[in-house]
Amino acid sequence: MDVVIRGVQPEEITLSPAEARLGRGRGAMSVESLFREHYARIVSMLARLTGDRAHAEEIAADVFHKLSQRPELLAGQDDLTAWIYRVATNAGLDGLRMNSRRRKREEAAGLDVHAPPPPDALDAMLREERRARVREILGELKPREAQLLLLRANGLAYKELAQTLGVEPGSIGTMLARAEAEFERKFRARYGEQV
Amino acid sequence: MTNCWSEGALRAYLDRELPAEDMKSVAAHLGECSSCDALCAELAGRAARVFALIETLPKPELVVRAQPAAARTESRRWLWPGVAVALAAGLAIASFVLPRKEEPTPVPPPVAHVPVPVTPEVTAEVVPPPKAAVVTPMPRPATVRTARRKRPAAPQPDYFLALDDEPIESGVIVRVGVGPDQAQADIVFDPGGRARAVRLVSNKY
Repeated sequence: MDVVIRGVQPEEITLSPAEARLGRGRGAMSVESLFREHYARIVSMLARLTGDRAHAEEIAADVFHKLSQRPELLAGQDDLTAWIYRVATNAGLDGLRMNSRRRKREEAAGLDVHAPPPPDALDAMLREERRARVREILGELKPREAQLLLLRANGLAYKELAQTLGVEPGSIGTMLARAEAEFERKFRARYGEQV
Repeated sequence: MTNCWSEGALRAYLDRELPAEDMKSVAAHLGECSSCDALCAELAGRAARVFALIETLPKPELVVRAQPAAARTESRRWLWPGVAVALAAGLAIASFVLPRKEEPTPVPPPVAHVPVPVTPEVTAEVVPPPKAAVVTPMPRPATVRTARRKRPAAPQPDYFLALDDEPIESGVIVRVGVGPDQAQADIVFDPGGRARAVRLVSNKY
């Protein structure tokens, strides 16, 4: 297996020398190094959030494309990593809500956009329904709470989580506990005790 | 109930993300404080439930370009130029050595001193070259996988004698005539053109 990641590859991002190095404060980082370090992780997070791998790749590539084309966006910002994750998470949540609204409109209009499932696909239907619920609740959380839960489930350590959120590692425990409590509260409020 | 830990610290404790000293302190405290112990259990249960729900979302398999494969490709890129250089070096040295030996000889031998292609039955230590190794129509060289010093004493006719202690990764074998009686000998040249091993070819061949 060779390249499976689609979307933009770092060499496709053309940078002028002035654009190639961005950021201040903690030391400049190149867009390419940020891309190599975080692109796959962001795609993974967004793919779980949206359920659409191709869409996740589009969002992630778009974030880095913006970063490469408009360095003035980041002028004066210390933490590029947190900026990238914040923009990507917001875009993913926007896409998630758009899909949710479309699904509701289609259901209200009585459109059956999906082919009738075979009888033995009941488990798959239930599984997909649960995933839709989880995504819906994630979409109702604050973006950084959703980001925190997704990245933690993806196995990031507190230090890495702190980097993606632009906070100190010591505050991750508190943020995580609150995000989990909020997720569970909303889930139970919507779907009862089916957590 | 004194020295109770915050909810965030207990959550970090569950993930083993506290410093080692704090991990011990929290563990000791949980044994004494039922309130913190209950809160910790509640946090653990909630974390497990939420994690299980998040885990229902399929995780995409992301595979990046395998760097080792790229490195292998890079090494292969230099393989055939290396073989070509080794061939050229071997033939150049052979063509340089042979005429010099002919000039001072009062009675020139009737047999031309050209490199003799190595015949398949030469030795067990010579492995046949891979198919792709034949890059020129020159006398076919045999690729030497290893030419270890098997006989530290006097050279035996059928074994190569290494001229140094460095391992020989690859090279070409050139057969030359040595001395006034034109005794046949095989010389192993490495890709750098340096003679690395030699052997005398017995007359039975």
